[in-house]
Amino acid sequence: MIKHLLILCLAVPAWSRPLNTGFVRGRVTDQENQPLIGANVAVENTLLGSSTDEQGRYFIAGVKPGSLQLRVSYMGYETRLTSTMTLDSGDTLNQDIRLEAAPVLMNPVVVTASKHPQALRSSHQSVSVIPERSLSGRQIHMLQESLIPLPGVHLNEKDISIRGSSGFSFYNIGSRVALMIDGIPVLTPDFGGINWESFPLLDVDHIEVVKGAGSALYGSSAMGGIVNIITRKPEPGDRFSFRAQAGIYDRPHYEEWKWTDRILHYERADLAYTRSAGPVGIRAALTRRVTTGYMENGQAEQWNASGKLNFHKNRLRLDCYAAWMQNREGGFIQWLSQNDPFRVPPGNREDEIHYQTLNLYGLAHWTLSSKWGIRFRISALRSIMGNQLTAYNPGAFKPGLSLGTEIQADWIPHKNHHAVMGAEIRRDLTGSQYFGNHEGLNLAVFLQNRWRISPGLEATLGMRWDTHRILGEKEDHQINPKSGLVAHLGENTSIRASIGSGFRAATVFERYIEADYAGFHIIPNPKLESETSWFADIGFHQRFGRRAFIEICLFESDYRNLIEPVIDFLGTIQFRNTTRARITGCEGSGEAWIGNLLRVYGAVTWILPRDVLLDQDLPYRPRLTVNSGTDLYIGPWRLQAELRYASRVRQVSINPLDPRVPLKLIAFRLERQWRDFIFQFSLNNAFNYHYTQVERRMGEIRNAAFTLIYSGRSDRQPNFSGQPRI
Amino acid sequence: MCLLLFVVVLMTQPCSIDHGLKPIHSRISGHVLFRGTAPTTTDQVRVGAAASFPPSQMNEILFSDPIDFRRDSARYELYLPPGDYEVVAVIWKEHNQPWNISDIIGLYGGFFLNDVFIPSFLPVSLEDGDSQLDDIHIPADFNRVNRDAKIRGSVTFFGTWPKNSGMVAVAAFSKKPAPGDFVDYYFSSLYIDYSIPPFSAEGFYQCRVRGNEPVAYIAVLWIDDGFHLDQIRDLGFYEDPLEPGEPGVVIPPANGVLENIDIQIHFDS
Repeated sequence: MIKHLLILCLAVPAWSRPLNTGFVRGRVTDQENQPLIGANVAVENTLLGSSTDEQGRYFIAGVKPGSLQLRVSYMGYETRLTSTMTLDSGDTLNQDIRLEAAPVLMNPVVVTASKHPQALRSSHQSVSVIPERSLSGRQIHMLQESLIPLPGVHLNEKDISIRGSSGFSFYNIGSRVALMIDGIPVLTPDFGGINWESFPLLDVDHIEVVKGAGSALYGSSAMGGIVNIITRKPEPGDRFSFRAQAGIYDRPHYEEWKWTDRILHYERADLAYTRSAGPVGIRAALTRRVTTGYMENGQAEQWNASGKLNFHKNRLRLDCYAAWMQNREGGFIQWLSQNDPFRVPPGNREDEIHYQTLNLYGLAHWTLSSKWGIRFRISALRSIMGNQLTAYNPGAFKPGLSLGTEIQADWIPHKNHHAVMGAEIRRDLTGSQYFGNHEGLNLAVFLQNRWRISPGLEATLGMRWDTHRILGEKEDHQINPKSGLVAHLGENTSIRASIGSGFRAATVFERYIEADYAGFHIIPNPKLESETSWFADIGFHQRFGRRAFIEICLFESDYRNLIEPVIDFLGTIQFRNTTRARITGCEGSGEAWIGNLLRVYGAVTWILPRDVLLDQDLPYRPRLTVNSGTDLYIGPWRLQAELRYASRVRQVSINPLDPRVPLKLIAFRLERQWRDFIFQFSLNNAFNYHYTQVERRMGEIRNAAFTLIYSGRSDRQPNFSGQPRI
Repeated sequence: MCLLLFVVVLMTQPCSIDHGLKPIHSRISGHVLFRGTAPTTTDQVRVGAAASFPPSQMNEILFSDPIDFRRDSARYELYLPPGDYEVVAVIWKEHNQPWNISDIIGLYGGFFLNDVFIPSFLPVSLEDGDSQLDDIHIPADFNRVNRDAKIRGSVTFFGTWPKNSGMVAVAAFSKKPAPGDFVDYYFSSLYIDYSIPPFSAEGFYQCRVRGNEPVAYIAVLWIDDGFHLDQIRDLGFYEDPLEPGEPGVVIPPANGVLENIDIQIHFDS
């Protein structure tokens, strides 16, 4: 079938390619006439485009003669659509473009919601973007911390929940949110879990978060949403950058909770190098992270290394990426007692968790004509987990291997239609003495069309068919449709609505695990069925010039056959299809600049996460979450205060009698930019507030950190530190 | 504004600020007074308290740290949130086995009569976060868990399992528990075996009891999928071969095994 699809995709554009074409070239600069490197320039309503070089120059060949518009985008700047120009056959059109820095994120180009680049305003689904300046400006220690300010996103320690889709399972086992790197799924094949540490921090260009069911394009696990990490491209010229961070933990507020005289600290160092010459670019990054943790057995040691090779010639772009990670950390399952909450029971003092991952992918984009493009990828993910006993029992864990390939065709049959179609195959191999050896096979085909009904109205219709099989078990077929509508009510106002379904196939771990862990006996359940969901949302976006915006969204999800760990009174755990749930909610977010000195931002999410069968809240879901803050800019200085609040969760699974409190965290950050350097200081959990998000696991105590960033490009990248040049 | 907030934080540090969770000071304490010898398979012994009896689930019992069971009398401290606790008990745990509610070996309010432990219990009440009740001494009897004999058999199920089945267990009792009397169910049980999975057609059980002592009632118990201990019910029992319909009384030999004590369950009836 793939062979036929390839032939079709290759043949059709060859017939339709025009004989006489022209060229478009020019330069993209900022308002101070400085070149913008890596800005995207695309011919509107075609697949043709280019990105700018070190001098900000771009060149697009094969452009069909006639009238055309260019769409130019660059993160941190206002996306610009040029006026209509005319290109004659064989001619070269020169068009320089100046972009204005945008204090708020202005309609950036996103790729996740529709599997092709589109303006954020045209997305029928709710999408949040975390630009690079937010990553560096929030002075994060771990990648997942960058997601905290987003509306609808809640982190229970390392577990991510989008609009209440998930509660808590250690290490995101059976995640209902798909983690992707450049659009490629990277959930572990055995646990279906997320390893946030898998990639060096400096590899991240920006992050796109799609909220609501994404299974109609991405299949299993995208039923709650998608987090897509977009990695940086090799940049023109050569550049070295680094980021170093060192932090220190305070003591607990209560004297009787102090458990050690040692100084507890954390450090990380990130290095990156990029170089491009002609059509070839390379990037390499290295990370080292060490921490003692703030509690007994909280130590961690981590290494990351990655490399990216990029080849871009004419209409062909090839990307190869490899990321390796090794992490060794202590295991803290639960505290010794509420009067000794930073220590583990003596029997758990030697507990450790080791893991190692290797992600590889090769990606080819081939723009065959202004109407046809093909994207082909092969990917591999190898992950292996272990513990302190691995050395004595080396056969206990075997590497999980996931091999995937996908082909996707983009077709613009008419200026008002953009169709995406493709097929995906994935094979998973897993093995462990705890859940046996299993082989999984997934096949999928998908199709989606985006239709501009009128200049102000766009509709999207799509569907994906998945078949999922663990060898020896019965096949599971799923069809997931989706549709959406976006109406632009003027330049600054838009309304969108979407509806779709999602599913998540039970993971090998959930089906077959049989183990004893921390006093719990876990038993298998091979008959687990896939979870399914229906999702609908409606959103409203209002921009106020270039200085403020608000976004409001209402949503509802209906989940069936939710897989949850069920704990009986003997401490035996089994994953079962137990629950039918309905989550209704709303979220609002906004950002505003007052003069050039003050920025305020905030996000509020309220959900009603009901277990329909038990008529109670789903566990570990706070009903109300608030994230808000303010930035004050004084010359080269930036001061930030940020509040994070989550209401007390009404249900937990393991120890319902334990005291629980709402989450109330306040952070202060200070930053100064000097030439290519940025100096940062942060005070996190400033009031030393003690809380648990999961029973008997104390949250992070007050800590302070210094961060030094060397960007090597402050003259060309005014937004790097988070302070826009207005 | 940020600077102002920063100054406010520094200034308000000595003031009353919400620091969230705090240490717990309300507690009960006393001694556990052991009788008998701890079995060699003992893993740990703890004191537990529950607001109601039976707790609707096992995780509604709050446990102390492990106590020293090698002495005749061991001091314990159990920190509890303020509130009323209907039962305070001493629970024994065997190596490599989960906590089992039939392994309660002592009760606050229980007493010995002619060397036989009489299960009765008294409530305790902690009024506020500073309440501390000392002298909550608890008698405990290791003889309840010194089990040298075994009863084995099969359980065959006929008919359709209830959809909300969570767990089945086979329990051996020294006397037939009165229906609905949870004190009888949980304190007169000699042993409860939870190893039979629900929805199976047949399962095998093993109850560990004291040899040369009569076991008056061997029952198959059912618990719903919410694992509500207060909704435990009998599915059936081992019948006397000579008097079908009546509970069969067995006396396993000391250090021996009594086999083929088979039970049939008919869901439709």
